[in-house]
Amino acid sequence: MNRTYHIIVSLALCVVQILLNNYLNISQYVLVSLLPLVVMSLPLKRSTNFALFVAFFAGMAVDLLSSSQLGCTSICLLVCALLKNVVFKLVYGDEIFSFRDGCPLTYQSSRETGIAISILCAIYFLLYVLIDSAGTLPLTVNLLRWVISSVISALLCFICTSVLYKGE
Amino acid sequence: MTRTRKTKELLLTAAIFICLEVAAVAILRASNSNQSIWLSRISTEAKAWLWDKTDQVNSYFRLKEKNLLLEKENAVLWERLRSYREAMDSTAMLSGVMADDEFEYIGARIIKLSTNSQKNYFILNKGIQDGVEARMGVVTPTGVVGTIDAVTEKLAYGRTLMNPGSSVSARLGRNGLTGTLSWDGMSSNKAILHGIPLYFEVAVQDTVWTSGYSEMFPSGIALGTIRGSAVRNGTTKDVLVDLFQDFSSLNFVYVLKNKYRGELEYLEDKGEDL
Repeated sequence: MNRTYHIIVSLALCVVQILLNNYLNISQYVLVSLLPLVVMSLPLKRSTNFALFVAFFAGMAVDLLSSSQLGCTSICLLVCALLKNVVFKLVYGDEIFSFRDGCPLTYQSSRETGIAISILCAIYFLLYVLIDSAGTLPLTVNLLRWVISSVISALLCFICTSVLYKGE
Repeated sequence: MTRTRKTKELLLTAAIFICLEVAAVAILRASNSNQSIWLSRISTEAKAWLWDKTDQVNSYFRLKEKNLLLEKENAVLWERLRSYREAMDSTAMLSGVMADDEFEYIGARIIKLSTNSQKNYFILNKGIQDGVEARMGVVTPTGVVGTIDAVTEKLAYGRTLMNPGSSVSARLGRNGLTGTLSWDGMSSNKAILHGIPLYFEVAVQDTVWTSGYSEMFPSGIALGTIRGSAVRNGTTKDVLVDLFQDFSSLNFVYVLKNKYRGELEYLEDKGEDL
């Protein structure tokens, strides 16, 4: 898998996210996002600074071209980009950093990959739900939105990882 | 070298993250009114918290200053309280014109204190420039500490009651007999009241007060409680007193300045000349 493939996959994920935001409104409790995967699938040879810029511009592009609040996705995705290496170290251990090329999610077992995706989706939606509600929704509603959205998005991201990076 | 490089990279990452987050928040704030109000509320709460903490830190560093202020206020209040007590005490009311405002209280801090020798002393952080003079009494809210012996511009030296050379004129109960109270020579909170006649019935646990016969201490300062008594030389009784004042934990004290001291000394000199 080469560099071009990664770029194409990342762009495709952004386009899918824009389409999901514009055409898929299941319920107010369900938010779906594949963007944490864009940040997580970046090869480890790329620095955190590069991941931060990718997160900012991907978030802005999605917000501009869909109905979500401008800036909201970037804020959440930036935190994911900053914490991604910490989560990898926590879940996979130090050896993950020896695999510098390709998507880091494909080097380990499905269980560990699932945990890493779930943690970053939970962080992403914790911020997203808080900013999106802006103190107008009760805590229970926010909690429900956070849990449901995190679970569904983590599942979707996991499936996408298995499909898109199957050959690695 | 590697460590310095890592630190630099970490700082750069932090700076980029903060810049991008601030940019994203600014865009969010500018384009959404709900989020703008919410962010303003959070920012106000954060500022209020910060101001509160800053104020707490400032207050902590001003504690010394406040302590000195409180010390002065306490001295004034104590002086007033004693005056009221004196006014209420009928004996004091009958005793004369000086009952109301005979003494002035000067707050001071003990900067050196000896408690383990036979001739114990203390040094105060107040001296001539604060109005302190030799032969002034020193007290705390829990009793008598001692008397001033010598003063410099800024400091004062005195003997505590735990010194064979120190004594206080004391009274048994509010209206009882008077005698001389001095240290028992051993413990830090016990003293002996000498010169009580044999016929006088001493009540254990009764309070011993200053008599007010000395120009150094006003009457009505509680000194301690009676523990017991013993006959001395077959002529008088010695009364053992448990002092309220614990000399091992002294810090802030009040120096008593008798406002009529000059007149008292003049009258005493005149009386001796007759």
